Amino acid sequence: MARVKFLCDADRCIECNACVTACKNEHEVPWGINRRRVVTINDGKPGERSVSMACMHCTDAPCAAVCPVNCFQTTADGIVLHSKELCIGCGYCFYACPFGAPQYPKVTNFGSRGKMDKCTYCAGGPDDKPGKAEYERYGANRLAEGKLPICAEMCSTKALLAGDGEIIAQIYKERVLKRGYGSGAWGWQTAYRETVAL
Amino acid sequence: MANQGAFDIVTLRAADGPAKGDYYGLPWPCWGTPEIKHPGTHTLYNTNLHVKDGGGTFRARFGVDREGESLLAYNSWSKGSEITSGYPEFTYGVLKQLGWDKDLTGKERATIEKIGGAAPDGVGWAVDLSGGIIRVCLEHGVMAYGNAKARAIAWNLPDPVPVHREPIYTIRPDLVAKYPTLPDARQFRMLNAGLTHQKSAVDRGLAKDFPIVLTSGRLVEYEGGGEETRSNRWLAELQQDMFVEINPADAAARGVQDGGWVWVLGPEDGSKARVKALVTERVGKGVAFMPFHFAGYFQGVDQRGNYPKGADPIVLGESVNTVTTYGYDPVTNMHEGKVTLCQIRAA
Amino acid sequence: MKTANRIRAAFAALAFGAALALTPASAQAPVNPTASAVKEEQLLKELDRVTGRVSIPDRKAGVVIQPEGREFRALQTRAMPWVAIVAIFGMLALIAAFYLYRGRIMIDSGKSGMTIKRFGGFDRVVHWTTAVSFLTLAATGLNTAFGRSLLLPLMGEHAFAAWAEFAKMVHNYVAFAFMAGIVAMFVMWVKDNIFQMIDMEWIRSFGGLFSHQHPPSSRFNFGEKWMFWSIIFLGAAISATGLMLLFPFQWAGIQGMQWATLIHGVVGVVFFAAILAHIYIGTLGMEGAFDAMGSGRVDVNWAKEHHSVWAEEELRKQTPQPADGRLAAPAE
Repeated sequence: MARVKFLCDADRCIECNACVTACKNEHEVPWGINRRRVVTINDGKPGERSVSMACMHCTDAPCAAVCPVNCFQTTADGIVLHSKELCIGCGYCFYACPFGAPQYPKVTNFGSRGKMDKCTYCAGGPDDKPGKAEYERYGANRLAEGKLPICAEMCSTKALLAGDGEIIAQIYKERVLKRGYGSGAWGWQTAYRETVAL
Repeated sequence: MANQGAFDIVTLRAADGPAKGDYYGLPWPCWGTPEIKHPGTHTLYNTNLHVKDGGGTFRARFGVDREGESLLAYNSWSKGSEITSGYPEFTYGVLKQLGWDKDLTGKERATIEKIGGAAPDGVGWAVDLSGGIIRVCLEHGVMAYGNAKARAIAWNLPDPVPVHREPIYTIRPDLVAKYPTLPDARQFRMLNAGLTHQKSAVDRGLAKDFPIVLTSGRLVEYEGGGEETRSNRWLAELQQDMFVEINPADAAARGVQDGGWVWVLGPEDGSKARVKALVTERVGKGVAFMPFHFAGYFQGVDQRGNYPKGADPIVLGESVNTVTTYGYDPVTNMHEGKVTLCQIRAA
Repeated sequence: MKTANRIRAAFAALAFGAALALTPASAQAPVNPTASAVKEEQLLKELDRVTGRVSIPDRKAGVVIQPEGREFRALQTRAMPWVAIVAIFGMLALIAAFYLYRGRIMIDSGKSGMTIKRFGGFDRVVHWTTAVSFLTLAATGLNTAFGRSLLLPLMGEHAFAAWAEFAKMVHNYVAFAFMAGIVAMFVMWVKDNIFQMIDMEWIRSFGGLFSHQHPPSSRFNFGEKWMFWSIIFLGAAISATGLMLLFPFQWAGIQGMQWATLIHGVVGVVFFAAILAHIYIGTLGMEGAFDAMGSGRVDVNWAKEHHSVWAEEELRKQTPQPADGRLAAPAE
């Protein structure tokens, strides 16, 4: 199967937060949990760029390496899923994650932060069959319905691309060639140990 | 969303399925009665398409001629138009002149004649409740609203071509003599005393005590006054506080920290608003920006208890119009929310 | 129509003028709107991270890319286990070697049968509270660090996750008993653990550990003082980092949290290794030592040999009592 990835074309992102809103609505993500967020770099300065960031579903994911209970697994598509049955809410994955993806229901409460929550690439969870139980725990399983992540589908400028890593890299490359500039595939080097050659 | 896949990503029209032929989202205007199944208008004034396919012309909105000059289109019409020149807005009378009134159904004609009473010829497309005039026009490939030229001189506005006028509360009082605002006048039933206010502000030297230009505008998360959008938890979470954007230089001069509370002081009636500072170079030195989507705090006091039970939005904040000032657009009477003066202090 | 043409001509002239005005800019290479755009590579090179502004109040969400997460992972999953193995097994090896060399340190003059009070009830409650909580914390902490490699294959994912979650809760709550114990021990014993000139002799003969001598000592000898201060400093370090982990991002950003996690782990295993030595010398390693924290009373001869100065002082203050159970009429 294809190895799926996210790619945010920062030269197109207009910081409209539609990806964030779509994600929240699709998965009923509670207040304070941000599976996806938009960060503006060089805010207000010439060359300002915005990047929509969530779990990048890394190759050789650092979260999986530091997890004390081995709750992460990588699917055949390269999606990094975590089991909320196993997670103990220790917080190590947040420290190891290069993208700040893991979220906890309670951040400052000692004793229990609750089960970690993060972007599932709209692929539900690793434990359950698609259905109500899975939805409540992990959110929608769009992949099971043959659909791509809602954030990328909703992106008004098609800055955020999701899908087969090779295809989205190709789309990005063609865009850069056509328009003559591109600030790079943000996070790719860190997540996938490769970048889109321009 | 169900038929999303059917829409072409370039033309935005659905190739097949229940939405076949429609533009994505049926964009306004969607002409005629539902039975006509107009696909919507993706791009306004697109003469390369038939009016039935979302094509169109420029509206004949300002009469047919001015100072002996025709205002109707010249050498331009939409694809497939039976009239290959400019034409005015359609009325029953125009239909009759062209002999197209015979295409009206009996029911449509009856409705038009009922609306028109003694003078049915004057019934225009916009008041024809039967939709018959629009339907017949579409059949003939023309736009019911006419086919005219765009105008660059808006002769019915106070400034037919925009000229520079200093704001009522200006940071450059020295320019007011050369670029004053419009003279005081009665508009609709109200006195618009902009010039009096402008002179008074200059005479009192307000710009000295209120040295920052304040403008207001919108955030992508919220709409209008924000009562509805601030009640939507997905959106409210993204903008949880009313804020003022202030340039780092102005912030440093006032000891204002990014994310800290500040008082924004307005030049009228000692008005003030307690908001969070967003120290950023999005605004230049001497300029501050506040969004206009907030309400529910008044001069630092929480008003949540005053909302009817269950009607209070998730996020409340100071309304920017607490500190904005006098001024009304002479045409629309819209208030001046875009330029005023303010002072900012750490709270 | 003439007017129309005139207007059109005027507009054409305007448009031409506009074009002229724009020419200098557009005559150069095609405009690159990203000429000054930030590039990820450059930011990572300069700052080793990419941060920006977010509208949500979660400030840490502003860190978009922090590749040091990879380094944290390397330290946590590769370096940490080696530190633990060296510290714990190294200490066990040292203890074993010392035991083989020296055997159990006996009371040279044999038990006198008479005892004096060394630690009161409160001292012992504090000691054992701290000791039990420390061992609990060590077990649950080591489980968090190494359970995945050692226990998970034996227990299976679900059983291990349940146990690990329980262990984490225990670790988080018992920590407060431990911290209270550390504070109490410091307050109770600090005055007897200040360095004295008499300790120089202990240092010179290395406590007689290898020479069968008994250098003079006050209530605590230098070895005990060393242990005391180790516990205080390691305890403070592990408590401080532990509190940071209990209240994440209250006092530190992402890098601070990474360091807190790593320091907590390293201090934890070093602390555990030190305590192994403490346990050895307090039980198996030395005859008569356990009684100090057991019954609170030590044999007079043990006291004279190991804490000569203290024993003299105490013998002036209290009358030794026979070691039989019967005397156990409240010592205080």
